[in-house]
Amino acid sequence: MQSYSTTVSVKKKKMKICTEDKIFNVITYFILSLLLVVFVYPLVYVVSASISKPSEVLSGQMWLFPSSIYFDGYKEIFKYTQLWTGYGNTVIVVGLGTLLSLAVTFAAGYSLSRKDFFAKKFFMLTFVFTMFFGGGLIPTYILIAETLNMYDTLAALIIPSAVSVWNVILVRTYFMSSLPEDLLEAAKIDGCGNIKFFVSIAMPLAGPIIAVIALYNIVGRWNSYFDALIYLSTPEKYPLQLVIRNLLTQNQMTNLDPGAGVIEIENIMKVEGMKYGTIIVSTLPMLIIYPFVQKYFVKGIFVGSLKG
Amino acid sequence: MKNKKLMLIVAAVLAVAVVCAVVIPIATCDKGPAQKVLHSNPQVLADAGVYPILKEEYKDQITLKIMGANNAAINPDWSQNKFFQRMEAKTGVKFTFEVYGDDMYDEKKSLALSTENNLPDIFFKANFSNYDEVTYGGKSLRSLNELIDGYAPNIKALLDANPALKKSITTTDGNIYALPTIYTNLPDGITNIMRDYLWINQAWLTELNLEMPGTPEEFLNVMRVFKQKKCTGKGDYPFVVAGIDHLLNVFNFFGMDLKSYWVQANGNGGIEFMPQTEEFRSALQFIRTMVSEGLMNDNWAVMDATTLNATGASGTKYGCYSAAAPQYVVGYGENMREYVTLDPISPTGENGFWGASFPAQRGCFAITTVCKYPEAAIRWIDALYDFDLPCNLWAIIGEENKEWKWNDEKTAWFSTVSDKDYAKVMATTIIQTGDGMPYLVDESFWEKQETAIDKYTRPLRNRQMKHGKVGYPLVYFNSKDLREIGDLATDINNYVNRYIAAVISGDKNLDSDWTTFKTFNRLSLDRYMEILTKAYNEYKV
Repeated sequence: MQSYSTTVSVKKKKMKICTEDKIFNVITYFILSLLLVVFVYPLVYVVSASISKPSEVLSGQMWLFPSSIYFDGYKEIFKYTQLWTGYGNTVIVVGLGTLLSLAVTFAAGYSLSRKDFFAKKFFMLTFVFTMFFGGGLIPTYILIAETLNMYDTLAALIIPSAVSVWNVILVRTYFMSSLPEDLLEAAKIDGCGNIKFFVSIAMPLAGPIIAVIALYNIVGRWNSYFDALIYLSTPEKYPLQLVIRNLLTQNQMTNLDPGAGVIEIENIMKVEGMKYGTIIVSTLPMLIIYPFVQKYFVKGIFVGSLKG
Repeated sequence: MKNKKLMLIVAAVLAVAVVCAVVIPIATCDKGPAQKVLHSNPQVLADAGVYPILKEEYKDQITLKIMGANNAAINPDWSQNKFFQRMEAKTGVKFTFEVYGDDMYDEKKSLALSTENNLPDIFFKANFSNYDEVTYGGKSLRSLNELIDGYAPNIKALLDANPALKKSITTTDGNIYALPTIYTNLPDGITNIMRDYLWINQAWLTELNLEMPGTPEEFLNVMRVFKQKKCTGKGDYPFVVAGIDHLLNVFNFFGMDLKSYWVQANGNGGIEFMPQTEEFRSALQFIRTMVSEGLMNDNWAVMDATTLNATGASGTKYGCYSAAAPQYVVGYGENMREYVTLDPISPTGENGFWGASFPAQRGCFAITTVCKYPEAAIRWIDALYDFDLPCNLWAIIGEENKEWKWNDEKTAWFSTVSDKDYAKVMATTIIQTGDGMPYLVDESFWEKQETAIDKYTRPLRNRQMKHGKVGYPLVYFNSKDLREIGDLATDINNYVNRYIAAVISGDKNLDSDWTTFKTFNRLSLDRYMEILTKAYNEYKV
């Protein structure tokens, strides 16, 4: 270890940064700074807007930092019960959905990774087929809402989206590349069956890929609203993103009646003031989770890439 | 090896085929043809004009499912809404609801109409487009013609008295699939309605000794003086425009109403594509002058009405702007009283007009083919088209002597709910925002509303509405034409809009580019005009 670090430092000393490299660095940092601004600006804007007066946000007086400190928006958010029911529903959908997804994705991914699985090719082909061809919105809707009778149930958000073929392939590749066949043989000699091998040997060795698939699922399900939009009809079942979407997309001031009074305007301003606060409240859990899982995330993505 | 692969592919295809063969019949045959039989149960109805509308033995026995669009933020739950409760008590028909915010409703509506899954009995505040009515009319939507003739005396009377109205809601196959909002008893001299008005700063006019402009040139001069004397700050403009709709109001100055398809009826019974006329060129020249002299905001294309309205609180004053009412832009209080509506402007100073719309808004109420009691449904909605009944007002301001009342002389009425509680009380009492409601709006009643704001703005709005004209009527296209006109209109809109923006910003010069623009035809303009002319001629007959 010692010698390794010394060679590096020696090398570093020897390396001279020539002018071209300097120019290259300057340009790189310049571009990166621009990107930084592009990515950070919306975040700062949303935070500032959530604590500024709605009228100032709308009229463009507030453009980066809060022009005034105004917490009424947050007060309204905490009183807005639909948002919190939405939170509850999202937690249920994300929790159950992710568990189910992990179960089926790993079962499928593992089976397909086994060379001695007799119908491997056939199943793989069928799986991949669905990546390229789908029934389209209306037939899917009829199938789920009518034939499977899942209309207006949370099951419609959990079950149909349980398997993502992309994730199955990721898991399959992981098992193929990092689970030696010898391990299976050794286990078999010791009297281990297939299921036992999967549960007690394969799964514990799959830590990073479990984290990645779980994170994909959590983020994806947390942010999705479209399934909820078409399959749910009772407001009490709406997940968080749908509640927010409804809040954000309606209440436009453009179609006011000429006779609308002070109250209507105030009402609209109130909702306007809630918009940015709700965005923060709803992304907060994701922001909190991310730093902890992020290392697995990067690791897991590279897991399959080398040998896959 | 090759053979094995081939076998596998064949096996996979076979498997898919088998799955399809099993699933498709389940999905389609499930519903069967039984649904296509139109229900008819007139025996449940009591005599016309009698309330409850159902015979005693059917009272409260019939439940209809309503789907509708609704602003969830101000009107959360229709099942708790007093309007529907009062209607249930009055008519004896009960309801269940499926109500969505405007944007979610569009998805739900399309899914229900196209899959016939979860189809409600009736659509209330249906927000149907030409496309919905023509595509689903006769499939999931039921023709209302016979129902109106047989069971809806009020609607029938309104349609018989106003053939233009009947024409405007009858689709190309001769059927009516949806009922409109109907405006009646418009004040003297008003035949069309408007939602957007141009407001000019009368206080400045008076202070600077200026006259109300009557020609574009005079308007320009007024704005120049405003700019010189009043809008001296950086970024201050005497004339503010938010979006293309506001900009199109300016084309009214030159005798054009371009809000539908850029066409307008000419004097000879035909229609004309306006962007290729000299009037259009003059209007563009005029707007370019305003922008280049700093009289009008150059960010008009990206500004939206919400932004303009929100500036009200900041105390900014303007010379002229478009809005439904002045208070939205300049705030409540004394500020708003400084503004009045513009008198019509035309190049000669005579015969000016403002773009308006026909006093009906279509696509508000429909009955579906799954409704078991269509006669009861149409009789129910018929009550909202009778101004002698209180139902109509329950929907929009509440019950007399509860939420509103007349003064002693019955010359004016006012709300009895305090301003502080108004939004909260009304959220569960009425269907807020009358936009898209299937009912009758009696303007002579609304004129008597006793609020300070309305008393000030209503006469001014009427003053401008007197000059309201419809450039191209609200026609129906059949589904083939609709698809074609949709595609053509997208291209032509883009082309014209881009040209307008380029001229206004100075990127294109009217002197050098006008001829090229004027003669464009590669976007199938001929076909476009053919379809519009056909629909227009059918509308006229």
